Amino acid sequence: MRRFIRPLEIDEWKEKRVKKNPKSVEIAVDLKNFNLEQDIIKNEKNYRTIFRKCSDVVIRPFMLGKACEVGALLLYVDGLVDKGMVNNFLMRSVMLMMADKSDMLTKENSFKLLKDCVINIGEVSVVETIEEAVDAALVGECIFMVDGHTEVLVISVRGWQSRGISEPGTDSVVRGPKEGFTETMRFNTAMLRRKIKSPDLKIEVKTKGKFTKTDIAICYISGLTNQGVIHEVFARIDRIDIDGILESAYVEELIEDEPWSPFPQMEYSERPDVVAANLLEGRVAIMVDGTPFVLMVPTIFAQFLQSAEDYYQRYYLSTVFRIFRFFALNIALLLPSAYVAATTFHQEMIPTPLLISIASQREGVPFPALLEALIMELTFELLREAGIRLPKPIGQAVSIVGALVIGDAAVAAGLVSPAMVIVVAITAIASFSLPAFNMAITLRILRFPIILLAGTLGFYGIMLALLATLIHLMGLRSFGVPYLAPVAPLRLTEWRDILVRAPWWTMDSRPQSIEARDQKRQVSGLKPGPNNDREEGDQGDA
Amino acid sequence: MLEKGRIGNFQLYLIILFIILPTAILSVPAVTTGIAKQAGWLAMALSLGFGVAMAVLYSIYFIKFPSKNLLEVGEMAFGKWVGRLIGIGYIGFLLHTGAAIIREFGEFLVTAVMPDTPLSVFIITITLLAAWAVYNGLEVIGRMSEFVFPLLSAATLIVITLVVGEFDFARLKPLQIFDMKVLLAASLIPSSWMGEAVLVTFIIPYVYQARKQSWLWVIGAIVTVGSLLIIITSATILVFGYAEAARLTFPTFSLARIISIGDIIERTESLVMAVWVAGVFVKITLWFYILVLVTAQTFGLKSYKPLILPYAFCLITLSFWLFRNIMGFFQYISTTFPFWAMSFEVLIPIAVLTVALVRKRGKETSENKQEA
Repeated sequence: MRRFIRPLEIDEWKEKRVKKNPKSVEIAVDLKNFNLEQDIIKNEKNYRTIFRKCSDVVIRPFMLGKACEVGALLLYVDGLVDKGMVNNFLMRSVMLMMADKSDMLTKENSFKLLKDCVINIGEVSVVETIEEAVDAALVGECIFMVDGHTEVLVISVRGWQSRGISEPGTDSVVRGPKEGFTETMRFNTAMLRRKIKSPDLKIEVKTKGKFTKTDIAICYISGLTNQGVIHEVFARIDRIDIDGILESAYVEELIEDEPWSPFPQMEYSERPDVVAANLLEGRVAIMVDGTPFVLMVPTIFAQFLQSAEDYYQRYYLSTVFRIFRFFALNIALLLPSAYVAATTFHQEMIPTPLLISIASQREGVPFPALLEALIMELTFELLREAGIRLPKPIGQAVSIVGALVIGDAAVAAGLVSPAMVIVVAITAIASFSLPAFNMAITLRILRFPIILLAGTLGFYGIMLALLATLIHLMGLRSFGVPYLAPVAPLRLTEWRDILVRAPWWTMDSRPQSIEARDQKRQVSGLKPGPNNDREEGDQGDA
Repeated sequence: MLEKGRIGNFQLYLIILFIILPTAILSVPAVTTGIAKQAGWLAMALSLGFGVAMAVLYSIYFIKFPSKNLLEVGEMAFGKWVGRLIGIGYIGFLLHTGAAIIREFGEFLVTAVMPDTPLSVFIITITLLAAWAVYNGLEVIGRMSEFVFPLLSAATLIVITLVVGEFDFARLKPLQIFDMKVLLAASLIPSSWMGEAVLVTFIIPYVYQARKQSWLWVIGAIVTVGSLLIIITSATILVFGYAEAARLTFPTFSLARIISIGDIIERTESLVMAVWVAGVFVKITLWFYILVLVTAQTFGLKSYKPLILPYAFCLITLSFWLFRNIMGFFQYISTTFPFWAMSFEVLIPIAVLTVALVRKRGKETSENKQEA
């Protein structure tokens, strides 16, 4: 009789494998199993266990004193520390300067002596648990231990390769500061501090992410920012318990008010001047280590139509362009659907000569306007996507192909009408002219359902979609501030910085919607003019 | 409290506007002109007087009972059970009229704009959308009204400005001023529309600023509505003549139809329709909202949200059942509706107010006696 062998369950198989070869299973290091020992040899062993198979961790035991009687240990992560500093200052001071003081050195006072008299590096601290020591080593500090002491000296010698400060890729301006944030948070806070030189600028840091241990800096101006907003930001960030945070988008998605909304609820920027301006209006900025994009809350809808440059150009210009952007927003959202609705349901709206020319263009086109619009929009979106993802030289080739295929061949082949090509092109230009990329994406996504509704119900369908969007937006809040403020709820005084950009000397108070604690921005009556205080003798030639 | 949201006085003003205006603009001029002929605008002016009188009545609620709505005042006046009976009465009124508004909306779109689309499409879509808005609460509805108001007023003003060229003042002659009976009868219909402002007495406690001054906004809203209706009725008569204006189902909409500027801006009625859809949407939402609010309050529910979907289906079904066709609807609003509505807009509020005031005074005097 044949015997059937029951196949092993996965757990059983794992157990069996571990039994056979215990070393084959890597167990995560639990730092709670380790303690700081007095004996430097034991400590070294512990560190070697903890950093087993971490080829970038340098552990350097050495001896101090006249007769090399005191053991010491240096540990750092190669690449995260400034090697010049470690070699030229730390090791040199410890080895050479120690020789001068070797008479005083005993095992008992060695730690204090080293810390207070020998190490010639500015930022030094003492930690007393192995968790802190390991964390410090992993962020780029050098940790230093001496035989006979359980304290660990943490010496700041951070220095790693990073991208220099360069002009930001997004939000570029003609006039205005050209520096942008980088991936290293310290540089970013420094850039912010250079803009706002006040002790009231607070930068509090939270570390999140089980593995990434990412620093999240919450910046605000105390005494100006609404206390409730600050509390809310801290409470929401405290809730985060995740394995890793690699970009501020992680934080954004974990703390936003309405997670299912297609609309972005936080403005981001990689410009220090934008962040500083937002802080001065009473907002809170959230910086995440490892990304140049800084989040700013609370955010209102109108911010997505504003660019940093609005405040650097003359106000007439800025006002006109803000109004243009508002139209661009509507065009980007509605033009294809309006075209579909007008040609399908409401032909009487189109002036007769235009109607005749559109009709003659569409004569050979086999698809209804709805399908035509969807095809063209989809093709355009694909082309755009391809152009972004491909390497630059190929990307250009794609855009040439796109231009030829869409602009010429599709029309010549009678697949789409020339009018539709124009509509799609104008829509694309409009959506690119919006300063906020995240809002432009949202509008592009919403465009498709609106086209569908316009193709089935005409203007009524468009209105339904708009009303649904409006209901959603009206209910939306970003950290307690209504998203559509100051339009709904209406606050007319704030309108001077929404669609128009009033001159600085008129904007005496901060936006009310943000509910800053200090509403007054500047003394009133700053309107400039010829100085009237001068003595009469100064005026004129007489 | 059932509603956590709060509204300001300006939002209250807009809410009254939206409770009345969107459908009033559309169908009232024709019906009134049908009865009052050339003096249609005069009947409107008369109804403005009635409207202000009713606004004063509702204002007294704001002044005397600033933290209570009509139902709570009713319970105070007549006791719990009669108060609930009043609540049930209002539920009936709100449900019936709400369905009628939805039907009017659907009929308008089918008749005037998209004759090939079935009525049910409009009725179902707008009711479900309104249900969603109601679900979002009073604050969102208040903000909606703030957002739609500029659009609606701009559209109305633009339409009226652009047809000024077509005005012919000879069409107002001869004026039958002295036939008061006809005028009164004609003004009854717009008056019943203005009385729809009774709905705000249910949201008095949710106004957050200076409730004692809210009455100014209530009366202001009625005056705005009345003046707009006078202007529009005059415009339709001046452009079409009374016979034509009464014959047209939706004369205001027809005004938009005749606009033509330099052969480029023509036949803008689709755009006006789109804006008007937004207006009526807010109106439907408000009626729907107050319907669920009154129901939840009458039966002492903790939340009105579970009622929304069932009521949405009730409203959809009822709006089909109520009228056979659009003529039936017009028959209803020109004969039955004024009396049916007035009993809820005038009679019950007056009765409740009188008894409540008497009781309040009695209570105060007895308290004074006790103190003495």
